[in-house]
Amino acid sequence: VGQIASRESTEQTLLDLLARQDEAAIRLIYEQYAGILFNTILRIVRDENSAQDVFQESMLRIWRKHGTYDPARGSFFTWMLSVCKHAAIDMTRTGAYKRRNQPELEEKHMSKAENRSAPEGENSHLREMINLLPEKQKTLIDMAYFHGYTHEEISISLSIPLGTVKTRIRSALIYLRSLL
Amino acid sequence: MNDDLKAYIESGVLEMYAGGMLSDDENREVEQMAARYPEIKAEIDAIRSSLVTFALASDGPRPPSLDQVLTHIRHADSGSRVLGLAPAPAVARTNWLLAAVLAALALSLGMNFWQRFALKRLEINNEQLQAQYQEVKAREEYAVRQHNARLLPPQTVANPMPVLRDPSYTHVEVTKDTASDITLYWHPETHALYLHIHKLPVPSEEHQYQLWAVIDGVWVSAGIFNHNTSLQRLPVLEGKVMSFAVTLEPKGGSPLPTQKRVFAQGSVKI
Repeated sequence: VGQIASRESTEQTLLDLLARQDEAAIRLIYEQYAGILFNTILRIVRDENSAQDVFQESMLRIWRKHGTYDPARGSFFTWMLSVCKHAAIDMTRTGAYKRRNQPELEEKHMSKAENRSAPEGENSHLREMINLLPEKQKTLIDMAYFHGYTHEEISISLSIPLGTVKTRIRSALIYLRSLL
Repeated sequence: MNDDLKAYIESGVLEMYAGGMLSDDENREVEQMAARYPEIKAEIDAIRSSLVTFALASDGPRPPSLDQVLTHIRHADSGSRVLGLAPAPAVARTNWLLAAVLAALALSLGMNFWQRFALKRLEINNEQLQAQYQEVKAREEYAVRQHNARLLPPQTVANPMPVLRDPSYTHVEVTKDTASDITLYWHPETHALYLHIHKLPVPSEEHQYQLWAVIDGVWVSAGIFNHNTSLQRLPVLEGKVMSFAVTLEPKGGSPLPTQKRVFAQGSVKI
């Protein structure tokens, strides 16, 4: 537990499980990639409810269309990202999405994030460790990886140069690694 | 590490790759570099590991739960209702009693994810439902039997050296983080099992640590043990054990793990 398997072995296991249509594949994808895939979707649709719908749809597409993945064109991770991006773009083209989101996009997204309380229980120890990160670094990782902001958007909203955003995110992840 | 490689790693591109922020072409470029340079691959794995950990503690927007995702997939695949805690109509028509028993059983399994997983996979087909129900029931009964057979208190070992030095024992490191560190000594022929605690947090008065053996993918109780006894002998454990895990259970132990938190885990390498 806690130790992450290498990318290749995880991907091969995933492909084997998907080929057998074993639901453990979905569980593995969820454990290893849900945060990143969801954030990728969120960056495009900018609304949590829509992102949740797209995430469900993307998982279904991965479950059904894994046979179209071509290893020669990149990793399975990249293929899953691509599935999520396409599903998210499809969503933004629907009339229902446009009606629901256009006027209050940013405000709605932010207020949800700010009002949320942290999950309880087993993750309290992790939260304590995360809280050891300097506040500025924590904000950067949160925005970049869990609130769907691009580096450019972070740069503008926090008034720091783009290069600094990248280096600070890297420093934060290195610091986080040292705590684990 | 040469300067170019160092500069590449420090450019921030790997953090963006792990976060899914690059284009498909850029992703391919990173993957080609990772295939060529083990340092880059190791860096990506480390970044991913940090992000997964951060995600667990993050209070940001969250994807739908795993259960919701699985239900969505099953629903789309079958085109019919999935068996949840409420009996599905098709089952109700053909065998409402079985469905009710299954629902109650599902409820009783609580957080035990493999059981829950197995149950939720039961489809509407009644014949298949019967067979899988019997299998789950048999597993649960087996787990209860194992648990009851292993309720003997652990024995303190006065002289640990013969066990610790005996090369015929398989050593299994059961750890999670710096707070939990246990070594198991398991004899592959006699199936004798010893547990050596190096470090373990003190449990509350109402709880006790329990060791689990994963045999053919099924969690089986390997016995409850004292957190404050360094070396103790547990009842003999037979079967093809793949790994061991430790959970904190209500005092006296449980036939199936009821707690979500696994304190430590280790695989058997023979």
